[in-house]
This record gives sequence, structure tokens and C-alpha cells, in this order.
Amino acid sequence: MRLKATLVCLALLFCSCLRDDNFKQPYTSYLPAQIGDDWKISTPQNQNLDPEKLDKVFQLLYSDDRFMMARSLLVFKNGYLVAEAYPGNPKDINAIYNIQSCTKSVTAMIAGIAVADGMITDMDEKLYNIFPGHFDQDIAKRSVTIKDALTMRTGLEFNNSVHTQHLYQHKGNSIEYVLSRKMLHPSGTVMNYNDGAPHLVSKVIESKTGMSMQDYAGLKLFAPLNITDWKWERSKDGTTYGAFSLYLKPRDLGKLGQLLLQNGSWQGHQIIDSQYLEEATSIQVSANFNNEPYGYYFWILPADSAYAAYGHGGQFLLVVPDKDLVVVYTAWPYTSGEFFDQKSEMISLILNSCN
Amino acid sequence: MRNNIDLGIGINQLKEGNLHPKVHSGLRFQPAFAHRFQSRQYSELQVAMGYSRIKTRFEELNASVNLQFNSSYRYLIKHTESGKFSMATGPGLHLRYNVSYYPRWDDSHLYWANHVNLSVENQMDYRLNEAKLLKGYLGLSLLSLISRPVADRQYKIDDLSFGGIVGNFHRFSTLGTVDKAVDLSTEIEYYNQLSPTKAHGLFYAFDHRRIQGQSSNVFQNSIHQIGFKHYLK
Repeated sequence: MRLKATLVCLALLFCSCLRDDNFKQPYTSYLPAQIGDDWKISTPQNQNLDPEKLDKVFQLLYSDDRFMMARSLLVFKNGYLVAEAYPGNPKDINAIYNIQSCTKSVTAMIAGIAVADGMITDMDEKLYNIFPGHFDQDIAKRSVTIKDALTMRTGLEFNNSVHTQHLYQHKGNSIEYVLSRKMLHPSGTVMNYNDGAPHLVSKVIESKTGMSMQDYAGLKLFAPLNITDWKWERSKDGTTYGAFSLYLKPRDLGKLGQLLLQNGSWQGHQIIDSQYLEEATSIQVSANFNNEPYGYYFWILPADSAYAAYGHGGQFLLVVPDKDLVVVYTAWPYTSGEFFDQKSEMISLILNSCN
Repeated sequence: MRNNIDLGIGINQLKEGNLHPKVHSGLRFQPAFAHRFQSRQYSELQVAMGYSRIKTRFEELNASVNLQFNSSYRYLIKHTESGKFSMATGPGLHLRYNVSYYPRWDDSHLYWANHVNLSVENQMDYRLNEAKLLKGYLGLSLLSLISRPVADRQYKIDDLSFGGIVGNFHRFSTLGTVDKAVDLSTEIEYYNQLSPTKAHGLFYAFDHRRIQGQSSNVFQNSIHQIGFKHYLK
């Protein structure tokens, strides 16, 4: 009797414990869904990709814990969508999510649109000439140029682990907050990857165009590409965040990659200045924290003849002009670095699948 | 004995559906205080706080934190007294705050499952002898007002000002019955009256909560706990 009671109690105890569920849906296929959007669908074979090698990539995505927080993986080749998967939730195909620092690269693209429109004519123009009222008394800050900001060489102190949250929650003027940081180095000399510099570029675009960068992007970038579902956060004083918090669908991020592949041209219209784009996607500096080559908010991958936008959570937009290839990977955008996915292995496998 | 101070230790398990479908678990510590009002029936107010450092099986360190604050009032009417056995039943009102921070999974947002609920409560006592009593308690929520963060928070960082946190925690936007919120509390206690002014109790408690707010995924919490009660006059 006592044994039975003990067993019943243990069974109840066991049943009352919570259990892990799977992170991901079971893997079935990477074939893209027909959802009636602008993307033309094709097969890997028809676009010179090895389907079996590509399958290995998607198997890795679904099975490997390093990609536990993955949301999407899409492969575009020769202008076609050839593979896609949404391992966490199939509904993510139509969901907008924060692409985090991939936003910086979009900010650089928008600066290129301003160049094409004749709004920005000189990359060496000083920010002080554009919005002088936000500068403090420190004369050294007045030498910061647009190009310095685009290459993270403003010289201003900005530590993302401290100042990004302050910028986000700052109630006063956000540009003055960034410009109030100490000047650690002469402008144009030292690269410091940070969220402050793109915020200054956002203000440049706002000052030059007479509208917020968000509105300018909506008119000049998203509308021509038929990107209708998006969101871009602004600081409390209304300045669009140049460094983060653009929310896009994965397929629409792919469109931005395709625009880059097409040297800034879309359906016969030159949206981004092509010469600017060549500069933006070439090596301008080396990143301070990892020595990797960097352009205008694009990471340059010389070994693969490629460049990429990277975002927190392991997210990336990869562009490989030689192979006419675009790859989008999105994930839960808030995980700490140790849970980031190992993108280099995934990128290598996808590049290897190109015939 | 009108007051008791409790100290409990146990295992806290949480599953935050807005984050991912894995279980966070860790040791939980809970001090509590209860006061019984002068009444022919059973009228009791209790406050308790719980603290846990938790992790999933993917992590080595318990970097995540769970904090709970519970305040409960019960009014139970004795309706059965038969030899050594007695039972009382009645309504309860609970205010529960359940707040977590998972820095490795989401360093930008707090997670919470706060609710106010009206419940049905049942207390059963079995007298072993003049000094010793076996007490059993069961409570189940019937109607709940829920505050949960939405699943797709379209902002990068929480408003961490005092006003922001208080505002978020008290956005009680969902009213529901057991379809939206299950708040189950059970306890069994071995009570021993040592003297007219002193008594002790040893208890085992199991609580289970399942909360779903508007535009929010399910939050589940299971707590197994043992502890000690010190009764005061």
C-alpha cells in the first residue's frame, strides 16, 4: 500500500514537470512557396546550384543547435528565389522582424540614393556644415565628415554596450547626445564600430532631403522595390535610427540584396549611385574589434569576393556579385553573442553549392 | 496562532512561449508571511516573494533570473466537521507578479506574467492528535485579469524607467477563465503545536500556472517546494 502510494506520488511529480519542446519544425524541403509576391521562383538545378549540397545546408539549419534561434534562410540566384526555409514558424515568411545592425548597411544604401538624387554631392562635406546647431563647443568635432561617419571614424567615444541603450532612451535631442560624446581621436583616423555614427548619417539624410530618413527610404527605396510591410524605429526626437531597428520580411531583405547585385539599378531605374555603391562595398577601413575589412557599413569578404550586412543574432545579408548570389539569414535578434550562429560555415557550404 | 512566517526552497520551472519552447529551471527560495484575521471562519492574508536563478540545458551558468511576488486573501467557510476531519471552502483573491530576465536569450526585454485572479479555495484538516494536524490545501483560479508582453514586440529595448516598468506590468489587457489562465496551488502540511504560543509546520507545495495574454504566447510555471513554517500568536 505504501509502495503504491509512493509510486503514485512519483508519477504525479514526474507528470507535473515541464518539458522542452523542439525549437524547430521538422525539416521537409527548401523549395520556395508560391505566395504571389514579386519573386520569380526557380530550382537550384536551373540556376546552376547543386541541390544536394544545398540540401545539406538546410539540414544543418534545422538540426544544429548553433542555429537554434534561426528564423529564415533564403537563397537567391540569378534573380530567382531558389531555396527558402522558416525553421521556427512557417508564418515567419510574412512577418517583419528587427534586422538589427543589417540596418546600418541599408542606411549606407540610402546615403547612396541621396548621392544619386544630387542631395549629397561631396562625401568629404563636414557634418558641422549640415547641422551646426547640434554641435557643442569642441572644435575638433567640427571636422567630422560624411565619409568619416560612413566608415565609423568620427573619433567620438561611443560604446555600444553602454551608449546604445542611452541613445535609445534619451529624451532630449539624440544627435546632440551622440555629438556630446568625448572626442577620443582626430576624425578620419581610427575605426570604432558603433551605433552613434549611423545615427549621424541619418541626420545628414534628414537635413539634405528635408524629410526623415525613414520617409525618404519609404519613398525612394521601399516603394520602387514594392516593399510595403516594414517598420523603422525613431529616437524620441524623431530621428530615424541609422544603426538598428529596421523591421523587414526576409524576402524583402532579399530584394535589397538583389538591388545591390544590380549595382543599384531596379527595373531600369538607377536608384543608388553606382560609383558610390562601388566605394561602399570596397575596403575602406579595418574594423577595430576583429580587423575585418569594412566599407560604408558593409563587411567586405575578399576571400569570397563578396560583401555582407551583419546583424545581432547572427543575421546576415550576403551578396556575391561573381556568382549572382544573394543569401538572407534572419534569427531571433536579441540573443547574446555566445548563442550566435556560426555563419561562416553556412556561407561556405552555400558558396560550395554554386557550380 | 494568527501569524506564520514560512521559508521554502524548491525547484522552479518556467517555459516562456514568447521566447522559445525550452524549459528554464533552477532553485527557488521563498519567504512568506501570513496573517489570520479574527473571525469564526478562515480569513487569511498572505504575502510571499520568490527568487530563482535559472537556466536551460543549453547553458552552463544560471544567468537568467525569475522574481515573484504574490499577495493572497482567502475567506473560507467551515462546512464539514466530522470526527478528526474538517473542511472549509470559499473564495480567494490573488495578485501575482512573475517577472523574468533572460540576458543570454534576450538582453533587451523583460518578460512577465502578472495576473489578478478570483479563485475557489479548499482547506482540509485531519487531526492526528491533540497537538498534530495534517492540513491539505487546494486553490484553483476561476477568473483572471492578465498582463503579458505581446509576442512580437516591435521595439528594440524595453522602457526601463520606473514609470515604464510599472506601466507595462499593469497593462491588464486580457480577462479570461481557465482558457486563458490556470493558477493551481496545492499544499500539504504537517502541523505541530508545541505550546499554546508556539507551533511549527513542515510543508510540501506544488503550484502550476499557465497564462496566456492577448497577442502573447503561453507562459507556464511549475514550482515544487518544501519548507518550514513558524507560527506566532
